[in-house]
Amino acid sequence: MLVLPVGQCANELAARVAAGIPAAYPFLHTQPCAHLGEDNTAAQHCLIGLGRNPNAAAVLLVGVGCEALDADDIMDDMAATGKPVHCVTLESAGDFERAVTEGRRWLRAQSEAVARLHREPVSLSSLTVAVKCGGSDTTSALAGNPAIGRAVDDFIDRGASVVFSETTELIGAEHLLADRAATDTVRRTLLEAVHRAEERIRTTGVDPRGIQPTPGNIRGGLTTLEEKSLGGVLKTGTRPLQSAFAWGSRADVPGLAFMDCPANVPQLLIGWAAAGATLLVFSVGGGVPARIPSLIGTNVGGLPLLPIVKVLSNPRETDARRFFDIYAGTILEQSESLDHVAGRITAAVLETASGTETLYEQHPWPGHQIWELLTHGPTV
Amino acid sequence: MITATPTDSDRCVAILAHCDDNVATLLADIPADGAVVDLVQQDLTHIGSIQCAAPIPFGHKTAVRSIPRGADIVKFGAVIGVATESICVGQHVHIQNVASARLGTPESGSSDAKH
Repeated sequence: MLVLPVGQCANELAARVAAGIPAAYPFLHTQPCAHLGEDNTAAQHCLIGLGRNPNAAAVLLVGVGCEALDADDIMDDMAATGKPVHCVTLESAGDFERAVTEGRRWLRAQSEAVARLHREPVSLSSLTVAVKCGGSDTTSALAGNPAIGRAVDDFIDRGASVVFSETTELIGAEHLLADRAATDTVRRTLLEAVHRAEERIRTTGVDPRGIQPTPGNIRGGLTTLEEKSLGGVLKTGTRPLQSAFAWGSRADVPGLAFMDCPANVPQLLIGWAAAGATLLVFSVGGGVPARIPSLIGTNVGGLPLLPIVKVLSNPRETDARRFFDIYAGTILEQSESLDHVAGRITAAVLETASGTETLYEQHPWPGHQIWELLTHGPTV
Repeated sequence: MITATPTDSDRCVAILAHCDDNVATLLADIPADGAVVDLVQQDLTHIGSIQCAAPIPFGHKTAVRSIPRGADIVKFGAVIGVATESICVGQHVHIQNVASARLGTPESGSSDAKH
């Protein structure tokens, strides 16, 4: 059950309402009253998307009552899915403790209904999977990424949708994706997004090496961003690119989609969950990032709406294998074919989508979570 | 130059991701006194071998053809950068002799990027 603050001032209310209630997750975030225009629109769409995510059985919207975002619009859009949605504000409740009491009463009432929910078989067209790289080295492009790409092709052929992002890490490979664009609009949207990302780097005048590629990438053998991008794009498979959309939004047609977002993990997780993804396949090369037990690149651990299947490529990372659901380095050890590893990835995705917990979910990092939304404009 | 030699299980292997590539990715550490490296395709079919002269870490790239200064470095059948100095067959190909063709200038290719 998602407890969703309309703005960051309601984070304390959300945390208090959810405290100690099993299956209640307070999505604390950074939306202030200090953003303008497009950033507020994106945040509103994002919150709606999170509430609509199939992994949220019920949504309690909490607010102060004076936020920049429109709680009623958010509620109506989420309620259109048919799931239970309610809103509690300080303004309507009168004071803080009454708001907490009302919120907790509603959550407890929903708990029973949520506990009675049961799984039923659905077609793969109901599934949206996100794919990502992290801790990339040269083994990523030789093992994990192409194996994931084969699995992605299989999912799309069977009706599922797949979304990728990390716009910066398409620089050098965007022509390959543009050639796969299903429409001119998709092609243009993708290329403009990559161009903007490249311009943002250029205008700083700073040599991006040490950031893109990272020191870890460089240590692992990746020399340029183009090399990293060309290796990364392998995880998107070979099927046509059907849509390209902004962070906070969602694809309008099924199939392979691109979401415009920098390679910043917390924002990626939020964006994908808001776009309807209910699962992430995370391809890791190796090096020290692979040895982080939970997730690399995130300062807040994982998002319960988005279980993560972790894939490891580098055969040298023997100790880190215990943190990964899938080890793909067998391809480089010549003990398993790429197709066979792709089959294992497909099976892991289907099992996770059907309720099996991933390694990360079994051993979550219980850190205090505040989610940073993506913004482009000024904070005033 | 690539010479056709049968694969020996004790020898070092490097993967040539695409037939147009002029670099291959090492799946072994090359020691300081060098080694013969077997080149294989992505599906691990043997294609030939080269001599690597210097220490090169696992996962790094080595040239499978000589690459003149200013020429494209080709991997995955696409340009991944530009050579900032001449590169011999078997030499380590990395930030000390390659610059991005998209970001940064060729002069910054051998700059003080620490790693």
